[in-house]
Amino acid sequence: MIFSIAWKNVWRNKLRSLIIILSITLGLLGGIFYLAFSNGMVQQQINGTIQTVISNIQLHNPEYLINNEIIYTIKNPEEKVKTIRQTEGVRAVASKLVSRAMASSAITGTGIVINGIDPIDERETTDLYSKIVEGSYFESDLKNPAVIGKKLAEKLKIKINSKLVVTIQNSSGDIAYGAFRVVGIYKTDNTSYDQMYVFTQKKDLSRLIAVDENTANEISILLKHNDLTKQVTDKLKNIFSEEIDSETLTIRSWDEIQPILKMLNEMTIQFTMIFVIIILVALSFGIINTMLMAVMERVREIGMLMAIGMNKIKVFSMILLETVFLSITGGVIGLALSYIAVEITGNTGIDLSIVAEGLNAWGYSAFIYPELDVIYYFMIGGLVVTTALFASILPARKALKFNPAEAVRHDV
Amino acid sequence: MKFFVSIFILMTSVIFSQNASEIIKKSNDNIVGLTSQSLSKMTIVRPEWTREVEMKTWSKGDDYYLIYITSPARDKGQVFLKRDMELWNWMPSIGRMIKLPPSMMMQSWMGSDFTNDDLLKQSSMVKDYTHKIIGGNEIEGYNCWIIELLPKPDAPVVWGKIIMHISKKHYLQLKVEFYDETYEMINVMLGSNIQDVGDRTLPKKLEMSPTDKPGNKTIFEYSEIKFDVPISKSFFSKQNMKRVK
Amino acid sequence: MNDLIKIAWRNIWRNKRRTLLTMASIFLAAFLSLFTRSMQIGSYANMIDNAVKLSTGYIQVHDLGYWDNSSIDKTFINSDELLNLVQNNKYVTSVLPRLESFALTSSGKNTKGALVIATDPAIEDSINRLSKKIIDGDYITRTDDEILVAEKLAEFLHVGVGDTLVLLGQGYHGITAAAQYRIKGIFHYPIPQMNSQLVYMNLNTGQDFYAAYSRVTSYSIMINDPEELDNIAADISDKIGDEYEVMTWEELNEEMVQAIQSDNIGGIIMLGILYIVIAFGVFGTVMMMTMERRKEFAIMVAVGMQKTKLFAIVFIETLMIGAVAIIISIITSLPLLTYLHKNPIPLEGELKEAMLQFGMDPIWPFSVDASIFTNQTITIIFIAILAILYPLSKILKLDILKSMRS
Repeated sequence: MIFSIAWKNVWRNKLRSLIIILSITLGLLGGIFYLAFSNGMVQQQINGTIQTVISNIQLHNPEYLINNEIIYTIKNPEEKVKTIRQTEGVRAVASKLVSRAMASSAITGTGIVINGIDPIDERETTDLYSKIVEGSYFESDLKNPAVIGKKLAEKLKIKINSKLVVTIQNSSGDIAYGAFRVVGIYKTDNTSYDQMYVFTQKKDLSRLIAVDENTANEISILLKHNDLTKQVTDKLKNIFSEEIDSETLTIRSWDEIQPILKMLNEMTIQFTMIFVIIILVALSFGIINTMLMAVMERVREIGMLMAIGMNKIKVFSMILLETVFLSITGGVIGLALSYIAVEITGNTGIDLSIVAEGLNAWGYSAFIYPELDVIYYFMIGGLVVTTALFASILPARKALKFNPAEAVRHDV
Repeated sequence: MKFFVSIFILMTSVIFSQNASEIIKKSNDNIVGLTSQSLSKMTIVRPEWTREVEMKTWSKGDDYYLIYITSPARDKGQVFLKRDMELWNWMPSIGRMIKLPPSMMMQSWMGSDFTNDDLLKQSSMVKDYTHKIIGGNEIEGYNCWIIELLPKPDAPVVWGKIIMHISKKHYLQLKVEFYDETYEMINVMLGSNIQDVGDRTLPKKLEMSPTDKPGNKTIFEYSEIKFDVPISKSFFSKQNMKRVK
Repeated sequence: MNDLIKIAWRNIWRNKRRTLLTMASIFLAAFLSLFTRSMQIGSYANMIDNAVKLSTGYIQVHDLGYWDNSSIDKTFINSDELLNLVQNNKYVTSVLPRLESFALTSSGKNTKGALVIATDPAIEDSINRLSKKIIDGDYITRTDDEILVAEKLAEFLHVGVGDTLVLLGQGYHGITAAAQYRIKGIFHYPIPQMNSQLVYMNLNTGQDFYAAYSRVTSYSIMINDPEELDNIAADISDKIGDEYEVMTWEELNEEMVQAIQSDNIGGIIMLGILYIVIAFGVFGTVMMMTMERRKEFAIMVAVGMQKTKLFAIVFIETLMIGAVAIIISIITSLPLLTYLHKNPIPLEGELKEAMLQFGMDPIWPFSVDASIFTNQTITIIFIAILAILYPLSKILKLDILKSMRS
């Protein structure tokens, strides 16, 4: 009975109900969209860094991480790659030869990190090949091909087919010079990466520094899903525990390699949560206001209901129910609209290219694709309905305090 | 008939190109000798200041040399040793021997327009380039060949092209122009003050100027230079760096 | 006009409940937007302050041309006269003379390139609390001839406190800079790249090392009012003349400016969403007020009041209520925000650890910048007017007969 009265009441004053429904819808849309926006921005950055630069997990010789010297290699890299490939959750594995070096052109010279890779394996682990803006990703007949970043090309004033002279320390500690041909130029969202990282074929780099072609000082692993990181890291630590104990191997996950990523993630979550709370406060106040008015406006009507025998609990629940109906209606519409908005912008992206230079420097992309797990919709939806319920307590209590005799005589 | 003409042209061009390489080699040998020993002064010229550094140099072929700084006082006693592909620096003021790492290679040497890298990989002019005579002219009264040096594809050299003006008499490098890969001139080196030095004739003054920095140059002047005095390989050792004077 | 204001004033007091509800909705709008913006601006200011302290300072003075070609030859004489000129600005809190250049560090068989910063240890410490970053040994004093080495650099070179480190570089006008120094302390620098390449020494020590006697590469200037940044820079530049270049952190660190700007976009989107939600709150309240008073309005029109006059009365009413609401929100938020400005919310958990690791204060600071109050007040007035225009326009279309019966 109460249900049907409450439901009818909701539709009696259409304007009032519409205002509450709309404000809930707007609150939801705002909160969820913002959450999706900032979540998209951070996830994009994390995924971008994982896919293009660091992969999910990396293996090194611990000495290498301190000294960055090419002599600190990983034992039996081929065997390890094979074992890791067979581990569940692993999508692709690549072993690399990485060293600091100097790159020079006729104009100037600069410090670089030179990566000796197997282009086929590397294509499966990182998506750098998709960031080529000029030339190709090692699809060239030239001898000693190299792929460099756009920023480095600009700094050295070199182009496709230009020579890149590399000065490097070889395995016996002597300085070696190598000439590479630029066959591809890439551009990522991270300009300092573009200036530092040069890619060459492992067989060419290993010849230059006089080591066996199978030598590696980095193995990077791309997983089927980032959520598997901890599980696979633990599993690998178990498999290679002997070498880890003897300090000839170390296994690190992306958040250990780039802790700043994790911090940005945490910071964004906190900031967004505070914002969602602010929105909820604003929303609840709107609801309190409107419902309070709805109650005050209906003093005579409520007085009448009480006079004809409706008890206080029923009056209280009636008003509460009205709010619940309103907020559920608003909630459903709001969630639906938010979902549509997030899906649409999530596909088209939001262009922030006016400030893209700054975004790029921090490893963000200029296009933001909002994304949000379904669980958050329910969470925010639940929060809004709860807020609406709490907001309706005050007006409902107000109604309880009416004296039927006076209320009936009340003139608006 | 046409056939013979083309054969003839082909042959002359082969002969010419051999000549060009030979000219470069002779010119290079003329400067380097089997061994050499010299006293020289380097003047670094900048728009706001100049500085002079004096040094003694010993060399053996392309692979070994040793430089002992004699002035200014603050730098005196410093020794640089190039031995194959290693560059060592002895600092008597702190009693340390330092092997220059790749990261230091692009730094200027003693504040000059030369880099450490220039010291280390001198004279690949013969091996790393193909040579071709492209003309002739006259510099300081000397008739010169103009020779174009183009880097071999795998050669680890930064230059896109080098143009050398080498005198037909004495094989003197009177003007050397360095170009980048787009054939834009980066540096130019001029030889002057040509004098007889023992059994050979050499420019005793060398001037290196970067084209994009007007007012900057580095001048080398030899006050004494001797060639082919026997020096043993062991002279170019780390132990000797500390003893040499 | 006076009459209208009088009527409006009486109306306000006639139905206190209605007035209070309207006031509350505008109050909340103003309060929440002040709170949000203060939080945003505060966190940017904190970000800038942290970054500026760790890097360039708010303003730097160099020899003209140093920024394009940062060579040790582009230095200037650190004279008392010049220092006085720079310090003689009420916003300048400290001036840090520094001589910076690259050098090779070497110990045993290990060599590595390093950035050597010769500085005034006391002023340096007052700005970036370098002494608190010492993890082994002690901080240097003005008379020390010893050096501080960054953690990862020391690890790479296998050196510790008490060991000597060889420094090798190029001094003023190409003079060889070579010396060895005892390591007095090892410090952890929060920026990872810096933590593997920084060496600190006393200004005098550095000037001897680089043979750049009484010379410095820069003055890093700290100021107490970042709002005045451009004016201070212009003032210093005027005083010291055009032999020097005066640059603000915004010019020195363009990437950070852009990063903050892009972060600000997120902030503005956030604020925009908040405005929409609160505007709707105000709209809803006023809309219902107007509907509630339809009968009253109809009577007034029936007894001869012009609709436009009626509109003006209600408009003035709402403006008065709005003004009071905004004043109250400023009065109540000011002490709260000032308190949060002085006692920022401390952050906890993983975020706190992460921020500490990067040398940031793990706090959530608020700003009490005057511009926040003016900007938000103007915005809220604007929003309130927009939100009430539609409901009030209903007055102009009032159907007297229908409304009387309602």
